[in-house]
Amino acid sequence: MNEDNNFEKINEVNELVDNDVESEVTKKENAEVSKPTFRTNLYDKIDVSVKTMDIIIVIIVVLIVIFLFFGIYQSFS
Amino acid sequence: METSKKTGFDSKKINEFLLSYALYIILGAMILVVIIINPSFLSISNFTKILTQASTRGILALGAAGMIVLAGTDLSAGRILGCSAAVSASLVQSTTYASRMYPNITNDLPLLLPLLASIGVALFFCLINGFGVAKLKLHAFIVSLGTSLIAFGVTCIYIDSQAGGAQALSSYNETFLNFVNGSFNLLGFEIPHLIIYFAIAAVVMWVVWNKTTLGKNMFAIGGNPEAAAVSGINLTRNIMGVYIMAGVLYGIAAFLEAGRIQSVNTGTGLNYDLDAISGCVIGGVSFSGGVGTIPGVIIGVVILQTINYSLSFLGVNPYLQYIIKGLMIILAVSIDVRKYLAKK
Repeated sequence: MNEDNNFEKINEVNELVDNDVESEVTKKENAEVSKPTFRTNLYDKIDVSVKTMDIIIVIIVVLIVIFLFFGIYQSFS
Repeated sequence: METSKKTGFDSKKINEFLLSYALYIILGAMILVVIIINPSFLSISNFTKILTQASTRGILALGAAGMIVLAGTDLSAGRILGCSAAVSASLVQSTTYASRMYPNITNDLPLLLPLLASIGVALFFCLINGFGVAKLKLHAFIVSLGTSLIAFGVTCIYIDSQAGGAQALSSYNETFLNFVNGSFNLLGFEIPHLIIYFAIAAVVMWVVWNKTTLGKNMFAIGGNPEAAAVSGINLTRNIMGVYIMAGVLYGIAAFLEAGRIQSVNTGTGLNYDLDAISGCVIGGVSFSGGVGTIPGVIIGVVILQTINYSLSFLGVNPYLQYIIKGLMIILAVSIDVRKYLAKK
């Protein structure tokens, strides 16, 4: 009976060790994969909504039109 | 109710379309205004001039586009072009020109030699950039900024080393001038050689981008470098490959540009990199990496050149031209960012 118990305990410990080793290996593999070899995507750092971008685009378009008309007006006056 | 719902959907769609194609709509409207003000703008000769002017910058942009696809950039393209152009210009000077840089050269060199010299110089700088990005993992922005200054310094020293002092390298031999600025007749139209060289470069690059392993790896690395590395792509080798490709294109562009402008000085190449980058961005090459096409780059460069040409054609103040061009680049990037955010 005691021998059986010991055997079970040994098995449990072995399993725990195996799991630990496995998780260590997985951790290492993951770390290698996620190692930042390059910078992350440039646009991921932009923290604005699509709506804000829409407003920015409209403002730029208006500015371009103003400068274009001003330039053309200036060249003909 | 249903009609309003339908109208709402339609207006949303129209807004989406207007925002996504804002740049092209502005450009179309601008060209239309130019044509209305001065109908002579719409002529074959103007179109040929625009394409000729766009060709050297286009070849430069084809090289820079690869780096943008890799989610990087190249701020040194213009100065590298200047340096390579100075080297090739010094080797194609007419042997009858008394103030030539190399008086010991008494016979015209075969054109292949200055072309290879030009490519060699451009390759040298591009390899520095490539090594910095691929091996040292530095940001392309910083490395290329450094090489830009180095290339400018080298150009100044090279041009200054002439016996007659820092004078522009000009007076080229006839063979070179004919090779670059010549034209041939096709169905009654004069087609400049430069346009043909640009077309050849574009076709070759299209094949490299779409039909070779290097091209496919380039898109994979630009889209997601970690995933590319995990799937077994050699990042260093492929990134270096893209930079070598760019070096060859810069060298060719420099050689042709020297012949086109017919006088190379220390200012040659200034802002060419910005033109190349903006051409790429206008043409849909995304700064987020992994997105871009060769036809897009060509269209972008031609559009940019059309803006330059039409604004000058109307006599718009050159300082205002800088502002308008700058705003258009910001607009192109903003549209690109918006597309990315909407997709996320």
